Amino acid sequence: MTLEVRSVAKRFGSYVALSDVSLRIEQGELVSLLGPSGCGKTTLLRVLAGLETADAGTVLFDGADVTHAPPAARLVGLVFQHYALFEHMSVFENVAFGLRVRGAAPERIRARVRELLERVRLEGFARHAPSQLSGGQRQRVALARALAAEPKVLLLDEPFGALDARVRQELRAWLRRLHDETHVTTVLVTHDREDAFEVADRVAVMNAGAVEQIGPPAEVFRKPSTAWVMRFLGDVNELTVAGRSGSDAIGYVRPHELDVSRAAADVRSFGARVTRILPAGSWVRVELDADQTAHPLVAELDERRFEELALRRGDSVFVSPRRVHTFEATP
Amino acid sequence: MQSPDLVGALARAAVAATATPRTARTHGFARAVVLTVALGFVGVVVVVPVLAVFAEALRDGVPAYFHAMVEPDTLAALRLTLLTAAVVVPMNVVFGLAAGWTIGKFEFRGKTLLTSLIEIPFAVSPVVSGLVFVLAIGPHSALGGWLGAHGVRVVFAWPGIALATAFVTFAYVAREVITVMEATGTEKEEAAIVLGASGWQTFRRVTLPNVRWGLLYGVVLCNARAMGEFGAVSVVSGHIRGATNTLPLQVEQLYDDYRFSAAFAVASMLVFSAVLTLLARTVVGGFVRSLRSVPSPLHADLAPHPRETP
Repeated sequence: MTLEVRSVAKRFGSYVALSDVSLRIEQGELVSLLGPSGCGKTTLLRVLAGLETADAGTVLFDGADVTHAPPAARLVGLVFQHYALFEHMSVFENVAFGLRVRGAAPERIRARVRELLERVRLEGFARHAPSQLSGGQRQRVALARALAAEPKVLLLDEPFGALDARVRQELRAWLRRLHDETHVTTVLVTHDREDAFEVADRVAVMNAGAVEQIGPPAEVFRKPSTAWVMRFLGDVNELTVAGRSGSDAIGYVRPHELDVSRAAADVRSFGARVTRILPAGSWVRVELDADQTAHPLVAELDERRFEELALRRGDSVFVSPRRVHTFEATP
Repeated sequence: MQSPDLVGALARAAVAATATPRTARTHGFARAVVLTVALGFVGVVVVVPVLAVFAEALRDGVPAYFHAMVEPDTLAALRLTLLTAAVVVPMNVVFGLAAGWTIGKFEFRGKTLLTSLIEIPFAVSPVVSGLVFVLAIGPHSALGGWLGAHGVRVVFAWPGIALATAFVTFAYVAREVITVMEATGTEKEEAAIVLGASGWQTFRRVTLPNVRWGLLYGVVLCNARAMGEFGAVSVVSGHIRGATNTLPLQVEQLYDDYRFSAAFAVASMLVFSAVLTLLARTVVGGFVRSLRSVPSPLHADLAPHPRETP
């Protein structure tokens, strides 16, 4: 199903949760709404689910206006951060719930639940209580429950938020495979860049109730459209550079795009002093002070380059940015 | 039996005192003092009076004890007490669920005010509660006069007793249900609604099972208070022997008639109901606590070691 959101706004009292959001999600796409807490991403998801009604604007499912349609009429599957499983029901009954309340025949329910439990790899757990399962297993039950009534849209609200790093990693890869098999249009809300970049076809970066940028992960990361997106997506160094209009502007440089050398490499090189060295596995994080920048700089070197340079704390070096991002009218 | 919480607290204090770790050997004296005070208090306030009830009840011998319990007036009082509980408890269950559902699951203007109003019966003296009903719908009031003219007696009859009892007890179920409903939040209901459940289906299949132990706990407390209420009922009943006397009123009347052993025999019936209530309370209360703590200790022992695979 194609999802379209046109100029949607939502306020809670005086708090503006969504200011003016427009977004189009194609059939079979997996789009991530990425942003810090309070940016409106969960509100947008709830507007899509029908749990909140937009104050202004329209929500279209396959071109049909569903702005004021109740949740049950929208055929969406929703997965919550804290699973929201029905604790008094078995895993089987949890998955069967959507079919039961819609009056499906018992044989169909049995077949469908078995199929889904296989798909989420919990075949042997039909009679278990949710409280007997681990976090990752519970979230897979929640996913099976959401998929049971064959929704046209799958909405995931921080589905990995309550899981530890390793389970999170595995579940991400598994979710992507599941999506490739089912092709259900999916919206994934997350504040975690890795969630969004690893799983989504496109990422919509949200800030203060609006979408700042939307595009494939690589494009959003390599060509951020605003300084805010640049800062949100990772560490940045801020340098003063000559702007297009001649006046000074702020140039943003990612730590891995800041070269460190013993001699001035080019005209953009400038002197700096190593203040701290933090080995972090396959790469080394080097903190530097430069006379010509107000803030300390951070460079990330791969291990080989770091060994070549044999850097020590207090060394005087030259740094030169390989790629500088500048933005018009940076805030 | 009006202060099971106090008794419970004292019992816990006593247990805590005896369970002090070895390192506290130097505090042995303090422990002995705390234990003596706690157990002494329980003894004076609870054990001695209860024993006194049975000692007095059996003073004229076992046959007299049972005879007192099957006197027609006493049986009538027992019937009225059970009838009152049978009317009041379901009323309060319906009200408690409605109030819990509104207050626990929705945001609206005046929510705090409604919550405070529900707690009024806890704050008002039962005698005042009874008096309010006599003034509002008694024979000398406009409403009571109109009802009387149409042949309906409320005050000095069992409907008045039921009303006054309902007023005094109506916060018990509501308060328990509200607490549980607020604690469970609205996510599960939202999940059910998105899955296609109607409002009624959501309530019956998701909300109600989630609050069932809290509800039962409230029912146990409400029932105990409904059967034991004296003050409010005393004002509205009119003390008509064999007609508008509940068990607590019957105890008073027998006592006033200098029929001490009969009075205590009837009182012992209330003691038995109190013991049953405490038992039910302990069992149900244990369930409520185990459900509130996640993961449930009920399941922890039975659960296979969770396999952490996605």
